[in-house]
Amino acid sequence: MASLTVLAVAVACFLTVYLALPILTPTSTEGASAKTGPTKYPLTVVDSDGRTVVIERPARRVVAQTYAVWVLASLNATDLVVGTSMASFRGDPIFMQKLPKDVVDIGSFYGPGAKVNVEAIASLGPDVVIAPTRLYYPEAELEARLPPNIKVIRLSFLDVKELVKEIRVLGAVINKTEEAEELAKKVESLIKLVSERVASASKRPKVYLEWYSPYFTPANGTIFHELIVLAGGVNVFSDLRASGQGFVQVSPESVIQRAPDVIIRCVPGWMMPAYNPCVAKNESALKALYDEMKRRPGWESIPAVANDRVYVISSIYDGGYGKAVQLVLMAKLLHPELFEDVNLNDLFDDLVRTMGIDRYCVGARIWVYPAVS
Amino acid sequence: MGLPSGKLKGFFVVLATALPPLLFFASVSLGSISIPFDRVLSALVGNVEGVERTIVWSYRVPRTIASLVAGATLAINGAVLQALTRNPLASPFTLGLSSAASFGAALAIIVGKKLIGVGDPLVLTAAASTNAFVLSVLAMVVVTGLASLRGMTPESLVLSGIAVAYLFSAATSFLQYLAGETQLRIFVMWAMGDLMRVDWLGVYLLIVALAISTMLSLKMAWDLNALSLGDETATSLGTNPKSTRLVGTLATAFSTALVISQIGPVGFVCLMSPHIARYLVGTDNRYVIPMAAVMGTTLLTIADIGARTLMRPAEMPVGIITAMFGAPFFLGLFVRARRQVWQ
Repeated sequence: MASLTVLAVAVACFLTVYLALPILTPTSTEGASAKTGPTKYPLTVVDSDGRTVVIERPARRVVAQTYAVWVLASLNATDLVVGTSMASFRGDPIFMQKLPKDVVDIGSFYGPGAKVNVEAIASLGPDVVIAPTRLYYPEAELEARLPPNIKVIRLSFLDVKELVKEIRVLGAVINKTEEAEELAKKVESLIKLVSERVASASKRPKVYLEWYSPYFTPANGTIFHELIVLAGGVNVFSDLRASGQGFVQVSPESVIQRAPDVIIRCVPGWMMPAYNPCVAKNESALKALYDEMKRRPGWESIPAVANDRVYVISSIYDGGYGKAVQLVLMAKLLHPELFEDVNLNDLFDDLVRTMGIDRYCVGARIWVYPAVS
Repeated sequence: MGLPSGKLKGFFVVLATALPPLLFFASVSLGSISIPFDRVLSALVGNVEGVERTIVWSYRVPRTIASLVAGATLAINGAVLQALTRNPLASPFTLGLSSAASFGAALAIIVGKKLIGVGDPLVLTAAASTNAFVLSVLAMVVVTGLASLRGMTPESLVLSGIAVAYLFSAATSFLQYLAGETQLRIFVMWAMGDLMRVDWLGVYLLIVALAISTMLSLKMAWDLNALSLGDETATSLGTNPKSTRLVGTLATAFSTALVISQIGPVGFVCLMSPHIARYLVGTDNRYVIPMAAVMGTTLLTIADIGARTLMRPAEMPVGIITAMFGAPFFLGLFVRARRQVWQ
């Protein structure tokens, strides 16, 4: 009996791996599902944690983490969302209009003390839960506590290297392969554009990135550290290690000592209307922070300040397609001479149009101060 | 170790006053980047121009003064409150101040609400410190008000303080439940307390807090001794327990509110420094309070040096280190001391 079970498990393992092979092998960049034509169900997908998940039919009810919701908007599929972390959306009156009115708050997947309401998820009866990768939210928390018919797929939509694959997986899961393919192509071309151009850069500038709060900076191994590297820069705090969205509080004197060539301050556009490029009437909120940073004692000796390469950027919709747009923004700030022909405002306009919020967000410009177009 | 005689106690206190200047020089010469001691000294007197001078004068000196002053203030406040309530576990934090301050900071960081119009509303941490101050003053008024309804006894103070603390903690937890990832992270950093955020304005506010606490304790030391004998005895010695308690609580709470608004709720110092002082100089508040001040200064400054250097160039929240280093030191004294300083 026992050996039979072992055999069955072995066969099952073999089958799932076999079915997942097209996704695992590099030749399958065309997608998780078929190259063209309708997706076949049951569908086997491999998520970004390497887990194999079988989807019986196209997902009609989806509980999704914040960044996945933005990607769903880009796939014109926000109507599928039944639950998400509302804390990520309450501060953004623009995107709120895009979310279905009856979306249920399921708590937060991210941050210290992250806690999703498993009961709320279960009671929504979704077909799939798009959860963050293990890096952000531990596995056992969800899978073990949800009924087995609710499939959990772990996708980050933050990791540039995984973006294209993840968009295709999500498209296949909700049976929007064509839309996903189109989006994946856009994202892929932006990533390619950046990697090709920065490869030719003569110098990789040293970057100090400040995340939302003074002296809060991404360490080596984090998403934003990767973003700096991919954009052709060197993180001045790459000797500090963390993972995922791990940020470190660093001492003011060490910033002065490490003499960054470029300083970038990120502000939460998704959280405060004053930083939201679709809501704020002018750049005063970004300018206030810019001025504060330039006034910091001793900063006049930092090359970035002396050469006017301090920027305040507003982070909003920066998952999926938005992450690729953010990569281009970052690359342009680090290597302006290589991206003179790339218009950031056009990219941002395309992002909000793809997300279907362009009619609420007309002529948005201020997402970097001082203005760079 | 027997009870130190009067002369010995005086000697201890005088000896202890030598600590803060030593700590000052240690603290300004240690930091995330290494600057040789002679260059630090030259920077201090202005013989060095450029980055080193800026680092010493704009970052290390204000921060060092802040830790010296804040540590002393918190310790004095703890000593006064423990005496007022005859409770070894009392501290300004038992009165709900840190919970109220945390709630105020959470309002700023998580909800984006600023209670009064000082500072730039867009700099989250500035709004957090304003809110923290407003709410801890509010908590102080509520707690003393409730306690005076019930006769301003030690029990009434501690009980209403604890109830208010729980109330604000619950409200804070609720906000944390609503919060997004980033707000939570910033809030957690705020709530663990650090001295990095103190600028020169903050230093002046801290000095005001220390002045309040010092004047109060000089004026009250004898009354506090009388109170330790019980309210009835104190009355017969000419001390009015109720008014002493009311004035003492209001003043310590106000000065603590100032400190918390600048450095966050750094807890261990005000609870433990008075105990360390009592193990060294006995129970007479005329010696305990200055000794506690020196111990608080020492604890907070050493902890802050640790916060800046242990994981450099990263910073650790000082609140973690005060407890991590302070607690074993306290426990060592606690086990070795043969006498009981609390009956």
